[in-house]
Amino acid sequence: MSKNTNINSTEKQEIQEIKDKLIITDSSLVLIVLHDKKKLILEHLLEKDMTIQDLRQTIGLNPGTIKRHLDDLKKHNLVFESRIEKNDYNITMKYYRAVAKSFKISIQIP
Amino acid sequence: MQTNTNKKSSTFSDTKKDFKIAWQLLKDNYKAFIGTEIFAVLAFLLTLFVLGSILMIIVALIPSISLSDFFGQVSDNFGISRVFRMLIGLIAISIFYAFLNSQHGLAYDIMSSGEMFAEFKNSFTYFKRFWWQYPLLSFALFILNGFFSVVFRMGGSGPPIFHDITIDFVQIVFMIGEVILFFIWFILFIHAFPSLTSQGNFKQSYIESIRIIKSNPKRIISTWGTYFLIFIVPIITIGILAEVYGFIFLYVLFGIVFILIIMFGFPMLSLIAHGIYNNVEFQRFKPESKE
Repeated sequence: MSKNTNINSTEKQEIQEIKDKLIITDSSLVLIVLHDKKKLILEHLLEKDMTIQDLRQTIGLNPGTIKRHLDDLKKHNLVFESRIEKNDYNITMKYYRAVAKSFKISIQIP
Repeated sequence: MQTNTNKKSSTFSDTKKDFKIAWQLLKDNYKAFIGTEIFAVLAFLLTLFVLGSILMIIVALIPSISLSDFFGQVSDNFGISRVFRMLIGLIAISIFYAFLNSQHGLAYDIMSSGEMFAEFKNSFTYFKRFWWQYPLLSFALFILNGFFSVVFRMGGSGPPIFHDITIDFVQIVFMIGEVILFFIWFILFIHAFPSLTSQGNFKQSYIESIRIIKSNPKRIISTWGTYFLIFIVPIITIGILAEVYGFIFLYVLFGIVFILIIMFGFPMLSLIAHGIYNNVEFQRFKPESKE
């Protein structure tokens, strides 16, 4: 059973549950999702949660750049912090995940 | 017997892990650490330049004061020379220490923030937050060296190896004693840096540092003993040899080792200290809320 949700930039609700599909209707969000690097990051977070270091190893971007894009995606409720873990040396690891397993852009004019 | 062997190997493996992980993290984040060090040196030089410029303006504006009043051996002007030199040194070195120890903040970013990386610009955040605490902790850490300089080397203002002393057996014994005493002092208070960065309270950072050594003496001695052997003992040895034999290549070697310590020793220190702080069991204070 597919669960679809509409989202726009004014919504501030905390999203913890991972939706099957997210339909984007806000034009400002379209620009964010279609940004090359943000799209790349988002694609990697669709199926599993990853740390900034995981993303760095996978897509080869600078961790600072990844962090800034993640913050932006988080601000617009497109990703969230899924969990915080500690490794065997007690280094804290923050995991990020996309809020949905797929994103669909739907813009209607007017 | 078996248990003792296990404990020994466990302590050593903890030390090995402290170094291995710190080195790995330094390799991944070297730009942020090197940037902070370069900025600390530049800030130190800039402070001297600015204070020097202010001095020039004062000398130019007040005819009764001359440059010799500030830098002369004996001041005729109410001790202004001594006070000025102390003040200029104190301000410049405080700024240097505040920036340099922002590396502990970078270590916190890597190990405790959850993001697992550090950026140079974050040094400024930690400088802003701990601008007086970091220099004070540094002065407290090196106060023992200052004490030795005053008591055992009259007129000297730094380590013995940099000054015109005649090396003999007694002095070498004093130097070894100084290193050992400094080591004890160091392991008592070094964890105040990661503690301050993590929980934010100056007084509590000292209490936590003492608690760490009390609850985990073997690991602390093992890890910091290894650190001293790698980073501190070589430079002291080269310094003594340079002073005794006076070969230029020994002074060059001393300079190279000094730069290596700045580049690798300080960042490793902050990463190891934070790693230990995160890993050992002790009674912790609740972190203060950050602004």
